[in-house]
This record gives sequence, structure tokens and C-alpha cells, in this order.
Amino acid sequence: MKKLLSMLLALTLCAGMLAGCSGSKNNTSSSSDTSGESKGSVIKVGVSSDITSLDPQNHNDTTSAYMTRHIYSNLVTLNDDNEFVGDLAESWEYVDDVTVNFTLKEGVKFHNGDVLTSEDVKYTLERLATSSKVGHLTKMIESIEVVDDTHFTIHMNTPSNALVSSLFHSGAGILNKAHCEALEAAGKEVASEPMGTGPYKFVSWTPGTNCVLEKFDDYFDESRKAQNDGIEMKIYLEDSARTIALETGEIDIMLKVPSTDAQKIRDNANLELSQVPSTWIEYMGFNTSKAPFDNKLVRQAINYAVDKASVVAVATENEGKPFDNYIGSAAIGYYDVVTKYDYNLEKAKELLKEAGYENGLEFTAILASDTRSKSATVIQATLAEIGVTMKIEQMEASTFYEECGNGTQQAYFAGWIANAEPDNTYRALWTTEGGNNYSHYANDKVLELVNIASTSRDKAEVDASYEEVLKIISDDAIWAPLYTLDNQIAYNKDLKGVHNSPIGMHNLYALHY
Amino acid sequence: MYKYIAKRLLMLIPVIIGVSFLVFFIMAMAPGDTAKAILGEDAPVESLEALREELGLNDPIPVRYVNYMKGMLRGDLGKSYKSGRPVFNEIMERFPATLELSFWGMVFAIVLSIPIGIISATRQYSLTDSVSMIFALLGVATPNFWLGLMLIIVFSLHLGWLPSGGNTDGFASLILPVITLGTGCMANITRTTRSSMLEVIRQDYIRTAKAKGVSKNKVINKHALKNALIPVVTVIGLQFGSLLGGAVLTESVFSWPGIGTYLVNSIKAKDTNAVLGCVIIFSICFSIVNLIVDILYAYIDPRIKSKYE
Repeated sequence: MKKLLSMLLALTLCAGMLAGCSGSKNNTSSSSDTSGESKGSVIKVGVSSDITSLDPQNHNDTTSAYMTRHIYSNLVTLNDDNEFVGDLAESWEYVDDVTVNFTLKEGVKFHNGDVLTSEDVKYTLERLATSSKVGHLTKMIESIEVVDDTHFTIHMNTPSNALVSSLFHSGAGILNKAHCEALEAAGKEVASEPMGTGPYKFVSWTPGTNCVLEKFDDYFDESRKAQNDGIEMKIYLEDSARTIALETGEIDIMLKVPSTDAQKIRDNANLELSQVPSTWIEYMGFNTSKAPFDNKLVRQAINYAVDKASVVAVATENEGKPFDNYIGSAAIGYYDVVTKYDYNLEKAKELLKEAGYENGLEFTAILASDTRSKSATVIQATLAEIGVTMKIEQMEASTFYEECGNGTQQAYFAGWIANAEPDNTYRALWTTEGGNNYSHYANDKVLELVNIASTSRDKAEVDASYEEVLKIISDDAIWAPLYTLDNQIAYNKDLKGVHNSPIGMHNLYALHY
Repeated sequence: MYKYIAKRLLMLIPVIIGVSFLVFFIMAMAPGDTAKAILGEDAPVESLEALREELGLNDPIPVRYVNYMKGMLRGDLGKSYKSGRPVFNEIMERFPATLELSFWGMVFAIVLSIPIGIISATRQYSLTDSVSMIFALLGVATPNFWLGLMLIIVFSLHLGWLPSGGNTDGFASLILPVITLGTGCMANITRTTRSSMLEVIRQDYIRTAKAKGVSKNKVINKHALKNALIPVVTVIGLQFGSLLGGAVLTESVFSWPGIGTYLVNSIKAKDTNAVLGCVIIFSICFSIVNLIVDILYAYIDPRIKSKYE
């Protein structure tokens, strides 16, 4: 027995040492990857969650979109000036309010060598309409009429400005009709062999571990051709583990930087931190259909009693910026026109008195994250100074959304990341038609303005309508906006070609050493 | 013996039905909207409604359960609500990683803890015993995620010897998570081995063996250890069984693509099919590990074997 145990111990130690050596070797090679010697190598990208699906029509999450956006191309893309420009589409032209003619670029190849045609677009958009995850995007499309291989017409059932932005959504990545039909006939999922016209070809996906893409040499756009051999997206669920992986050189770039690690990265001479204004805002919302927040004066009073600078310091370690607007500054649809409520407890007290709450009031705020709990605790303290008692109730996310949706809450803490279509923010959050109108705000004027903005093709009218909406809701103080956070990307200082997109759709093709 | 094993395996059927029933109804009754948990807070109403319809969430709960069980009778664990992929495939993609980590974690724990437990028992109240017990207590008391992070900081960040996470670097990827996972188990097994040995070496037959002039090592290894092993094997079995259910914290800290993190993410997303699939697989594993433990008893103690006949 003793002999056996001694042998086992010795064996384990030897295995450990051998493994230690191999680990050391591995680390060295990884370091050499990041030292700039291997130009064009595979770039390792650290992300915080796993992919849901590589079928662009079967997910609606950022991590999956990082990959599908590089495998598939869309008809249109968004440039850095927040303008939609052609991607697979050479051009498009409105015939009338509900008819748009598209022309495709010629000779665009799929990864298997097939040439893109209008039939592929028609197949993709028709399949998209049946998707439970992203089918809502193109609900304005009545039909797609193929004219020839490179020309087609989209007929809409109602005028909508959201058509072009919807075509930019990762869910509208163009599929290869023949390939998908062959897969479906063989009983396979489209996600099992993803193939598009994007700058990268799919190599492998190991759930929970990584997803590997390799450069597509026949990519149609020379200016956006991959400058590396490929991308390996590695999944690190734990924030600190992701940061350490960057520090040790196991990854070259991380796409989501935890606020707690941002300063540590800035202090590291081998790393860089890129940050750009984002469309992300955090806010405290009021249920305007329920007392005491059915009273505009109370909502305004709470707005005056929020010390945003302290919230930012406590909740984000000063990585956030105090914010007054209802939509992120990098979003399409952002206008600096809102009513601002500077921290002023005297003013808050006056408004409460005017509202009939001179003896104070009590309410409950619900939330579903630790960061938001920190924000709430800071606000709870300042509200106490004006005689307002805020109880904080933290709950699981799905319960939180259920309560918000049912309107049983009085106040709540939430966040919003606007996407490329302003209607998805304005209508969803602030109109009676919106699924995310957790303030249960009902204002016919706002709905009318949003309807004008979403259908008018006169840019001045669109801008004026959205501006008016922001003025109305900020004057009504349906929220107390708290802060905004920049999009932060951290990477090895020798890495070049880093793209930090304000809407989080970072391009990875230009990355190289 | 074979009859006993067959009987135990048949017992799995009511276990699976009971477990699936409980988990299904707990998941169904839990507050929260599955569609929203999957699609996120910014999902539009149309998508939420379409997803609910597609997943059959608008059906009454008993109807959903019957549909699920019909599928299970055909060996179909259903599709994940979140990814739309078969749950069985998703679990099997992750289960080998969990099995690998649990197996090596247990090997690490057993190889170190049994000798330490024996030494502690045979030298009770000595310095060796005190030091071993302090380590055992520390092992039980140290939170896994803290130990994991400390190991990463020392061995990955500062020394650069080992990868900080993932399972793509072969055996090197295993070392830190195995130490993290094994430490807690090691502490438990050490304590059990020590107390069990202490009990056995005080028995009359050990005194008799010693009186007959049998060497100390032979008394310990041949006479005492075998009889002291029953509680140790039980603890090892229980620990291994629970490790197979996924070491969530260790998996998270080391980005280990195991079943534990998959289950937690599925619970967060209210992905009932995925949760049920995981729990059913765990129940089967746990039952099989328990069965193996019971079979091992028979080989360790012939008196128990006679009861199985």
C-alpha cells in the first residue's frame, strides 16, 4: 500500500512538473505572439459570455453578433459618422414611401465560392421574418421582388425609417440560399456550418471555450480585408480572469472592461485602454401611473435630490460620467435638449412641499444588479435628507422585468443601450406601444411625435420630432438619468487597428501586430 | 450481486421521474418571464410573444410537462430555449470537461489526503497531526474562488508558469483548477480518514495483532486501513458525485467550459429544458456513483457483500 501511494505521489508530482513546463512553453509562445514578431497571426479576443448561436437569425446578443458580423455581411453598414452606407448593397433608392430599389455589388463571393445574388437576399429576409428572436426587425417588409441577379425591390406595408437600420442588424446578415437549403434538407442546423460573405470563414466553435475564424482571401472589399490570419474568441466568464488573461498575454484584446479593472489597465505599461462615448445610460425610473410618482412635482423633486457625482464615484469607481439625457450621447437620436436638474436639496424640498409631501414620503425601488444597488444606496442617503424614505428591494432579473412590465413597482433602477435605430428607443421606452415602457408613461403627444419621426423622410422633421419628445419627457421627469459609461476596450500596446465602436459593434478585421 | 445492481439501476426510473417533476414545476412556478430572460431587457414585445409561442410557454403547465415527458420517453431532452440546440448535445459538449476536472480533483485529493489522514491518526496529538489538521481546517474554510484567484495571481500573473484559464493548453490548464477544487475535498477526506482510523486502531483486534508482534506498518496498512475505509469511501463518493454536478465557482474563475456554469446560466435564463436536462444527468451520475460506492463496500467488507446476495 505504502509503495503504491509513494508511486502515485511521485507520478502526480512528475505530471505536475511536466505540465508546468509545457504551460511555461505555451506562455512564452503566447508572449512572442504579443510582442509584435508574428504579424498577421491569429488574434485572441477575450469576451465575457458565450455565443448563443452562429445562425444570425437565432440570436439577439452582442457576443454572438461579434462573430456572426465577421462571418456574414449585411446589405448596409454604419460608418463612424453614424451614417448608413452600402455593404453588400451598391446603392438603394426610394421609389415612393413604401418601395425601395436595391442594387447589389457585383461578383461578391460566399466562402464556398458561390456568387451572391438577389435570390440569396430574398431567401434571407423571408427566413428572417419567421424568426422568433429577430423577426420583428423587418415587420415593415411586405414582399421582396427579385428583378435580376443584382437588383431587387423591397415593398413595405407601411412607411418606415427603420428599414435601413434593420438591414444593418446582425440578424439581417445575408445567408447563402443554396447552402442553407442543403443543410436543412440534410436535417442540419444553419448554425452548424455558418457561411456568409464576410471577411472571415468559420473554423470551429467549442461551447464555453472558444470560437475560431480564419481569414477569407476572396472577401469582396479590399479596404476591409482581414489584416490578421484569423480571430480566436475566448470566453472568460469571470471579469478578473479576463483581465489577468490580458495581462499574461493569453489574449491580445478584451472587448468589455470591468470598471474595477480600468485603472489597473491604464497603469500597466504593456496595455492600452481605448474609450469612446457609448449609447449606454443608467437611470432611476418612476412608475408614472402609481402614487407618489403619478405626480410630476414629486418626480422632479427626486431628480433634484440625486447627487450624480457621488453615484458615479460609488457605483462605477469614477469610470462613469454624470448624465442628464435620456439617450446615450453616441446614439443616433441623441439631442442635447433635455431639462437638466442639478443637485439642489432646497429646490427638492420646495417641490415636495408644493406636491403636498412636506412631511416626507416613503416608497420602494426595485432593482436587479449589484452595481445598481450601489447607485440606489447613494440616492437613498441623499433622499433621507429631504425626508424621503426609499426602500431598496433587490431581486432576480426575470422577476424584476415581470414586476416592471406589470407596473407593480413604484420606482426602479435600470439601464439602456440604444441600438442603431432610434425608434427602438423612443417608441419602446416612452410610448404606450413600447414593450419597455416601465415608467408606464402615457402621453399621446409623444406617440404622435414618434410616429412622425419613424415615418417621415424629411430629416429636419425627424430631428424636430425627436427633440420635442426629449423635451417633453425630461420636463415630465419620468426618469432621473444617472450616468453614462464609455465603451472601453483594453489591448496589448503593440496591437494595431483597434476599432472601438460607440454602439459596441467592434470590427476586428484590422487588428494586427 | 448482479440482481442487486439491476435493482438499483431500475430504481433510477422513479428517481428521474420524481426529479423531473419537481424541477419542472419549480421552474414553471418561479417568478419571471422566460422570454425576457432569454431575449434581454431591450427585446420588443413582438419578439417576446413570438418566442413564447414558439417555446410553447403559452400552454398550461401540466400540458407542457406531459409534452416534455413524451419527448423524454423517446430519449429526447428537448431543445434549449436559449440557443435552440438539442439539450443533450449541449450537455455532452460540456460534460467531458466537468468529468475531467472532477476526476483529477478527486485523484489529487485522495492521493494527498489518505496518507495525511493515516499519519495524523497514528501520531495523534503530535506536531504532524496538529499541522495536518490545521491544513485540513484551512482547506475546508478557504473559499474556492479566493484560492483560485490567488493561484492565478501567483502562478499565471507573476510567475507566468501556468495558463490562467480555459482548457485549451492540455494538462497545464488542469493544474490550477484541480488544486483549487481538490483542496476542499482533500480537507474533508483527511478529516474523515483520521477519525475513522482513530476509531479502528483502538479496537481489540488491532491490539491483538500488535501483541502477536506484527509490524506497525503491517498493522496499519493491512489490518486497520481496510476497516477504516468504509466512511472514507462514502465521503469520496459523495464528494465526487457533487463535483460531477459542476464546480460552479471553480469553473467560473478558471473559465472552465463545464456543466456547472452552463446550469447556472440556464437557471438565470429560465431555460427549463436545459435545467431539467442537467438535473436529470446529475441524478443519473449521482446514483451511479452511489452504486459504485455500495459495490466497493462489498469488496472492502465481505460482511456487507453477504447482504447483497
